[in-house]
Amino acid sequence: MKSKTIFIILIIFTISELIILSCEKDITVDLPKTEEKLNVQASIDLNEYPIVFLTKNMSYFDKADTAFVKNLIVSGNQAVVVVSCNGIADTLSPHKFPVWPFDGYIGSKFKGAIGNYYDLKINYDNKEYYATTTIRDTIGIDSVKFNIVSIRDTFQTGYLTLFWRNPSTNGNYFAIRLKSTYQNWFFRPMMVNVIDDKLIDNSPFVSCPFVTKSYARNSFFSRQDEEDTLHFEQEFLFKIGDTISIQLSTLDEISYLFWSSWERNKMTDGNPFMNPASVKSNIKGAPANGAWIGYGAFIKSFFINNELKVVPIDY
Amino acid sequence: MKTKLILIILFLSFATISFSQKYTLSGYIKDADTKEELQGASIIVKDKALGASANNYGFYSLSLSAGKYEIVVSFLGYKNKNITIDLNKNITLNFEMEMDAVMASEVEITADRDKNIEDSRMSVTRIPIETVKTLPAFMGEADIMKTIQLLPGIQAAGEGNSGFYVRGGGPDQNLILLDEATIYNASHLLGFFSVFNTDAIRDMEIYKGGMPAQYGGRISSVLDMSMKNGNMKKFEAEGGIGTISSRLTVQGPIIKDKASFLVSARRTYIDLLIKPFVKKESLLRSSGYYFYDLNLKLNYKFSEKDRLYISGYYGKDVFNFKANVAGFEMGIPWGNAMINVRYNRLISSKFFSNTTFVFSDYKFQTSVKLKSDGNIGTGLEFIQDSGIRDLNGKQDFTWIPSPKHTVKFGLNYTYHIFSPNSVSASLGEMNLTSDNKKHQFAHEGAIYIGDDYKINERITLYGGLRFAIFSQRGPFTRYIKDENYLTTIDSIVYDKHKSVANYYALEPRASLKINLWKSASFKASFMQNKQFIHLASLSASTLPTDLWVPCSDIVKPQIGRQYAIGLFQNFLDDKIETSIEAYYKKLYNLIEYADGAMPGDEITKDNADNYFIFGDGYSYGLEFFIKKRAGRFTGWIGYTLSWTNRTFQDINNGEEFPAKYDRRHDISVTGTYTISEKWSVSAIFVYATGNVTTLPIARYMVDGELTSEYGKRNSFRMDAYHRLDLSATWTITTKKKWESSLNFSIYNVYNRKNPYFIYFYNEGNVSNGNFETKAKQVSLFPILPSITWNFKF
Repeated sequence: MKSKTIFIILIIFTISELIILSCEKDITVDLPKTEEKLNVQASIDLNEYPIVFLTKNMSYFDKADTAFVKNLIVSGNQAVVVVSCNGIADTLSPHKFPVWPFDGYIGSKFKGAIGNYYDLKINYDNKEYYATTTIRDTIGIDSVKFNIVSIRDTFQTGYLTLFWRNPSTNGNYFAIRLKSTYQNWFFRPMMVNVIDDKLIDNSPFVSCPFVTKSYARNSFFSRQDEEDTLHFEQEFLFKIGDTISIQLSTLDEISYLFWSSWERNKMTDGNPFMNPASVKSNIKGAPANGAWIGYGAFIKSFFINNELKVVPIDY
Repeated sequence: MKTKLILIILFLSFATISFSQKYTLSGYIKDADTKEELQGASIIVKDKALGASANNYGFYSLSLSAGKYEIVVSFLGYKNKNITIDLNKNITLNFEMEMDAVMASEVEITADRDKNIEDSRMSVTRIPIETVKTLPAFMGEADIMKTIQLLPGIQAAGEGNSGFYVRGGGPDQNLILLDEATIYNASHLLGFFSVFNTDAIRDMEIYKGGMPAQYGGRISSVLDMSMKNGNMKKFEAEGGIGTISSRLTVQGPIIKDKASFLVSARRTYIDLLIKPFVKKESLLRSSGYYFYDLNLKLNYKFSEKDRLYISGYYGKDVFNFKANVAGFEMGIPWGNAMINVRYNRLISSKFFSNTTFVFSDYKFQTSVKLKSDGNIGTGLEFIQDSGIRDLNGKQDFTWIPSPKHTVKFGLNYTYHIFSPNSVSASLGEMNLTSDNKKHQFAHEGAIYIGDDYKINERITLYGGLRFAIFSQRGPFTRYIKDENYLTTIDSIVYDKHKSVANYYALEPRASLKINLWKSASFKASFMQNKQFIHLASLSASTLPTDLWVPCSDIVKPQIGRQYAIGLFQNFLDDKIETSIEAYYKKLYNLIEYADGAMPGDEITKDNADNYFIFGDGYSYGLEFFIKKRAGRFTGWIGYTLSWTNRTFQDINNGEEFPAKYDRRHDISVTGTYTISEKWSVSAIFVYATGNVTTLPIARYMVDGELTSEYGKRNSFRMDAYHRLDLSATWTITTKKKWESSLNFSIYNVYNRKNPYFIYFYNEGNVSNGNFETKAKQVSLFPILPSITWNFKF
């Protein structure tokens, strides 16, 4: 599975501990000019209106402040975004969101429904972009278990294991996203966001063995100093009293390909032992990054009680 | 057309073999002290351009017309033997050569000195093991693999990379033989050390091209090493205690002059040394790395005509990791095992036979354990194996009908068992795997013939032909994927022994040597061969995790075609050798993993080769070599100017890109100076154009996360690599029964921070208006001094 990757990481770690630490230096890297691309982050969830965020890419060494970042965002009348389904075209309206990039587009004519196909068409800067997605049948969460990682005087931390029934057909793809006490509004991905049923084809259950908090990874917007960085346990693990909403979504193959390639991109990013992996976009037309994804989303909330059981919350 | 030409040359050369009345002088050339055979020793008829070289087993044969001859036998590092014989019948004569006690002095080694000029083979180099031992070594551990990387045309893969690259070929394209057995992974600790313990090695030779027909299965090079046989006369022990490892070799007679043995062992102990300095709470406390290897050799002389050799090698790298939390344990052992049995038979004074049986095995394993906390669904166990196992049998003959011809022919069969990835795993009570034992089975066979034909005093021609066949057989299941290579949509099942894929190869090889004037020759060579196995690497580096995979219904054999020409000139009575070689090499059917492929993608209902993409490549270059081979000061300068490119339809939109082996300039300078009987000093300087790498050029946001967009493959070149190593050897005692010396080495004397890899890090944040990305270069080894105590008794 990922054991070779772990091995590679451990080797790097060991060598680092022994030798590397004192052998680093800053260098200047002269990179070629970047081709401008539109980044499309578009989704339609079951029973939700379509939401589309548009941003532009930036050169790797671009220095960034709020003005620079604002300039990356495509908003308002800069683009025309249309989602069509069963002959109905919905021109999405500019909308403010509480998460980055804050400015996006939202539909109003129809919500996501199982089995439907949705066409996305974007017109920006006299260029056209388009993509198609669908929403697959939802799968319910069967059970959730809490696994203790360490026992401290003040609190116990751990990760979750999530189980759900395996559909009888082949080629099932799932995405797991979370909202917890700390992360509200949008469901966010974990460190490993998507999973397929390749490994457990003959088993009645699919499981995601390591469910951790959403991946609060990079420092683009509010970097903390190294010494203030939260401990791994606090950053990624759950503890008694946490409330977690889990969104288990089914995906089509193209959407899975986007997310799995994105995860691989993150895993190989800066890893000298791996060839870099590019993200597989499903946006066609002019050069673009990103994806248009339909989520067959099933959502359930849980509470970790004093007996370390993960108890469903029925609203 | 080329094949026909080779066949005609072969026919003509056989046709010229004279069957007139001649007598044969034959026998073995050995070390007088140890009775080790001296492979490559020369025997020549003085004042006549006639001579022969001892083969891998020290056997020579020289057929001459009746008469009186003055014979000179020579070998580098040994005193010449001069003898006059009256050849009026077939004579068997063994020569026992005495070591030259004062190597540095001006000794007469004329017969051996112009070997580089006279040898019809080109692009081949032999480095005496003593030379390997005198050069500065990383952490004091003399290393054959590191030494050959100082030759022009042979590139180090770099610090932290195992393997070596020959004339733009990949590390899998090098055939590495230890006593005729294939060694699949020749490195310990990601290439910092080779698996070959120099104390156990007798001889080594590397072919960068123009390899004779007896070698096959690889398209770039052959590194042929022989282990010592064991001293037939007396017991002997030698070894060394170094900064991070120690070694010991014991050899001696089992029955004097009839049977002998050699046992050699080596182990690193950095894991043990470092433990007291690691904090109790550190993750490294219960973790560690070490490697060890063991060489064994037995030989028995039934008679002057029959001899049996048994060789063995077992080596392992072991990496353990144990976390204090969560009951997490990980073990990663990998290594080679090899045993072979060889039987030499001198059928007649002109006919030599060698029969070999080899078992060799390379295995890489990862095991992960996460202890259960008692709840259902907790506790993880995961074991992953990959490797290759060979059963090999071969029969080689050497026929020396006249001094003008040396004919070698034979046949070879190998049964391969590949394990590209074999997995068993469980999560709690749940078995996570269904179909994982995906061994692949293949037969590989070859027949060959080659003749080294001395046409006249000036011209020698080598012609060889090898016919090889490869067949992958069932049981095997081919899984057919959908267009995105995600879902298996169909499968084809091949029953046991059923043919999955068959490939054939007709491999002509030829080389020509023309003496231009005294101490100068021109050489040219051509070879075309196929390679039926590939090494698939997910990494920009070469790692033990790389998978050996066979040709299959979708993976075609690699094809290599190489042309080379060279000028060889010796100066100062052959004390100085020089050469210039030019080569052009074309490679077909190379493999790479598809973009984004990850280890283990193929572990269930899938095949590793479903994730491969295919392409071609080429390399060309010029190699300059100057060597001072005698006197107090010895050493060489090697320089390579080369270009190596690849084209894959699925990489860079099919545009050509530099291979990771592309290196414009590569310079090596070595020197050893013997100050006195007590002291000698040596130095190595290397310079190489920086390695190519792929870097991100842009980024964008996904779910609030910065995501990298990469530029063209290998479009960025890192800084050049250069380094100076120095060493001094103090011979403490040189008594007959006890020798001991101290070696002081300094690696990377001027503390050059050579690039290993580049990574990026972010500073500041957008909210503060100071977000910035910077690049950092990581280097591996700073200046590293080491001391090794070597002894022999």
